[in-house]
Amino acid sequence: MTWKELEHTGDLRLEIEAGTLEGLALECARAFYESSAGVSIRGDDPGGEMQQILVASQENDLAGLFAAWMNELLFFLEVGRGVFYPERIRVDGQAASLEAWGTWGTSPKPGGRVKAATYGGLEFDAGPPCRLRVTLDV
Amino acid sequence: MSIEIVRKDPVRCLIPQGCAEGMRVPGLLYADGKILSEVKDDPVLQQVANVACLPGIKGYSFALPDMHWGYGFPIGGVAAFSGSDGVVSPGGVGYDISCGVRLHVSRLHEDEVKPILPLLLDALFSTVPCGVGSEGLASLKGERLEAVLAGGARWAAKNGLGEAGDLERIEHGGCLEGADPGMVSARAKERGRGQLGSLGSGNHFLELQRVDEVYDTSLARSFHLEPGRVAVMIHCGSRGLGHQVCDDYLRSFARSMPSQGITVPDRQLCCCTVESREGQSYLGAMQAAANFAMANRQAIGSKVREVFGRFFPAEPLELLYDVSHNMALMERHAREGKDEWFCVHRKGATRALPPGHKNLAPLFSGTGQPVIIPGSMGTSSYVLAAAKGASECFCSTCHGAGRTMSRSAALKAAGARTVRARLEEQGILVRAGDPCTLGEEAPEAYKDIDTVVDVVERAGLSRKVARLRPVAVIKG
Repeated sequence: MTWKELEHTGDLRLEIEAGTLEGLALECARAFYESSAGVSIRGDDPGGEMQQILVASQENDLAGLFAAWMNELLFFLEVGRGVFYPERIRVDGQAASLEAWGTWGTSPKPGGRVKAATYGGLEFDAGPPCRLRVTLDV
Repeated sequence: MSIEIVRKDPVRCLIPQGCAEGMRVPGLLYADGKILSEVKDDPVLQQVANVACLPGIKGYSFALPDMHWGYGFPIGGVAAFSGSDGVVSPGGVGYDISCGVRLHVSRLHEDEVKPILPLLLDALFSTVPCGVGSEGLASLKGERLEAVLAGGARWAAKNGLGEAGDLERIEHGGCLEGADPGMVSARAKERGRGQLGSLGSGNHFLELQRVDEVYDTSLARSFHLEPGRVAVMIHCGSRGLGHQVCDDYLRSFARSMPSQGITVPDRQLCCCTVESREGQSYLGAMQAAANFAMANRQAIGSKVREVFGRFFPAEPLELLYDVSHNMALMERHAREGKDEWFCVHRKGATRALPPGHKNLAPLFSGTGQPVIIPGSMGTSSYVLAAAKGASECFCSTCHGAGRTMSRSAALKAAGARTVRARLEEQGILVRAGDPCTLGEEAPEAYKDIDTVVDVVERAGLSRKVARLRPVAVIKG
């Protein structure tokens, strides 16, 4: 497992790590979907047309970028768009932006138990390995 | 970093102003020895100190006895900022804007309901959407959603969801006039569009209760609470719409803060001055989300009434009161002999207007505002009445029991199946939208509600009126 749950009284606090920024983005997506909807995106992608998601950090930093990425996935899950299976991710560390290409699969139901990736106690460490600590509101 | 605590009296402790760099005011914890022992090693104390660093904060950074570690602001936190040069912070309200609770009371005795309780509960469970991804009773598009954001529970009552007479029993008459639907993003509206009239998940619930004990006979009579009578408590908020509003403005404020010369110890505390364009935009959006939450509880309440009406057509449910736990409001308070405007943030805290307060509906002027305090699953809930001492805390009191352990620890301590079995052994019927939340919401994950309520009474913030016990619960 490349992510684990840390103790937090009120919410769900995760520590996620990977060798690269792109790998971290992928692990964030995996951690989000498994925590929120009980869905694993580790297997085969569902096929279909490749689509793109673009995310930028308002604070121009990588910690905010990864929180924004998880919130982007949350939005699509909640409005019924489904689960995004990333095939290719590119992270611009300087600009704090992320581009992901992948396909959409269905989720058992719209939405998940996670309601937001918060900014409270948000920590990013470039490592190596790259590590993110994030608190998810449930 | 360890936070210094100085006991002031049996129910108050101070975090001295100098104990953390940047504190502008002291912290004030409402806590007896038992509560303090539960929180002394919790990061919540650092959060209280962090809030004390924010510009324009007045009085204290408060924490009520149900305090626990949140993100940014503590849960159970109250902070008031100068209306002229203070700040507003979305993190000081929380993601679930106007998460709150309402209590419907009836003249039915528990013995009348018990024979048909499983049928009644099943009817409620099938009528009120709950659980992860639950979709609401009415899909709102375009102008209808705009009308909900502008009109709140008033919109709901006008559209056949509840009664006009409910409105004086809801904070702000069921509608915040300063709401600005135009400040709510398209993304937030898309999240909220299908969710009106749904409970959601997590710690949200609908509970059938009986009045178990009365502490103040006169107040209980005024609130129509008699031992043995059945009541219905509903706990939910603004769903995905409120969450998105919070996220939108946290990101917006993070961009704007540097230009206002503001730095914060935790990015979830990001804030802008109340009078800035950004601050006013957030307040308008926040009030719109609060209107959505009030309409949501009104819609659910109306459906509960419909279901009860099928079983007990001659015994209508009456709304006692509806309160919010997560809000920032512009309020006038007297401090140091002057009446001034403050932006009062309550995050996991309830507004508590004492008897005679000018903002109280006339029917509560003599009693003070009812305060509805939900306990954790399977434990007592309380009805309190706001007391004069609440003015110390900008007319605020607690909101619930407050967590003491993480969700994973709670699941380990009490598996979902065990929790359900234990509740049913107590004679409490359970229906759950998501069975996993039963374990996470187990009573041992929370503080003792009796202690929490006792502390706020001893501190003079509110008075106990009645205790209620659960009979059946629908968990989100």
